Amino acid sequence: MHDCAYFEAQGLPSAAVLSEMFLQQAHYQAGGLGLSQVAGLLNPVAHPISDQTVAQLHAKADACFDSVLGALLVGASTSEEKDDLNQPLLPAATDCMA
Amino acid sequence: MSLAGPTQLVDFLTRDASVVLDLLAGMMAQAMGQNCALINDCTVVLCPEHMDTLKKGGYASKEQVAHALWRRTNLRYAPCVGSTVYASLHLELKKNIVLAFIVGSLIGFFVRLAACLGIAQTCVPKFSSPESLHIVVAGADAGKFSAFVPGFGIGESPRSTARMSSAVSVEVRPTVGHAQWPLPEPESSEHIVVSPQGELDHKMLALAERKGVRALEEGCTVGLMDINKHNGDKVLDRLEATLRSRFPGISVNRYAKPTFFRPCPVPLREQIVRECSMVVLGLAD
Repeated sequence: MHDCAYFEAQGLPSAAVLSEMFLQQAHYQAGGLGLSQVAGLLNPVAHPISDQTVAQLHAKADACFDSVLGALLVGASTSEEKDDLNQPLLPAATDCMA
Repeated sequence: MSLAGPTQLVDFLTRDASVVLDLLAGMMAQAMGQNCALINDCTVVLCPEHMDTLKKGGYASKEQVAHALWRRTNLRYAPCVGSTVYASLHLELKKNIVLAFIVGSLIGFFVRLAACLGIAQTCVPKFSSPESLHIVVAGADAGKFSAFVPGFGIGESPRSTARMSSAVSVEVRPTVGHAQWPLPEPESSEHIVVSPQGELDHKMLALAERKGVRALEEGCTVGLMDINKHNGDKVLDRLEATLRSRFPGISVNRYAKPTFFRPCPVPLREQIVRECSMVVLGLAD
């Protein structure tokens, strides 16, 4: 959270990927850092992480990819928050394929 | 119950019930010192993740866990049995040193031989019985950190150290309940509730401006910073591959900070700000 707060203060959009089990602590710490819109930066993945196979880890990465994009591009990681922000929306996945 | 100091098992990788038990047994075999056997009580605090692993491995009850742990601890304690018998005979019971050495060596030899064959000795168990192990499941949902806490009490009556302290269960009730903020006014001057929460006076920080998807379509540089926790790099690898696939014009720079438990060093932070248009940090677990 300290790093996220620093990057945001420097004008660099950031997204944090973290275990779902640490969401509460992340919110608490972000509040202490003055990062009130932290929900838009946090991208939880299913716990656990450390004992998972590569295939399981890739599945977790795939599951949070759109959320990470949302955090980077509009500062919101849920569709509800994206709708609230009058920002350019994410392209459809097919539009982005090479 | 009076207790010895707690010992913590720090684990990240174990997915097998048998390995969890072996890790714990290996540590418990050295509880209070290698020549200390027949400990009367020991509280074993299993974290929820370890308990889940044990359940998946077929251990359906705390009793099953206690029996398995007791047996494995005795197996791991086998190399110490000979010296324990020697110390008990010579130093405690004041028997002849030669006799104590011979008896200790013989017992130690056969116990080690049995252990090599996978047979756990029970003549000098580390803990008095499987019932000596009091299994408790406690702790946060995340983190494979179990612990054990031996109680005071070694050997059996009439030994002076036997049953010095016994385990009991007593309900612990919260005394003041969950703290509400702001704290309510005390009902009288006799009752003062002080909050341990700190108060910060800081400036609110707005998020950086986002430029929408055109930033990626125009080919910006995305930074991926590994905070250096185990397996985080695998998740970032996949995110990088997907990003490159969906936005072929972008550049991706990879960074890693030296340790996850401190903020990123200033030079690396500044480098990322100079080189990137946006940054993903991960993975905190």
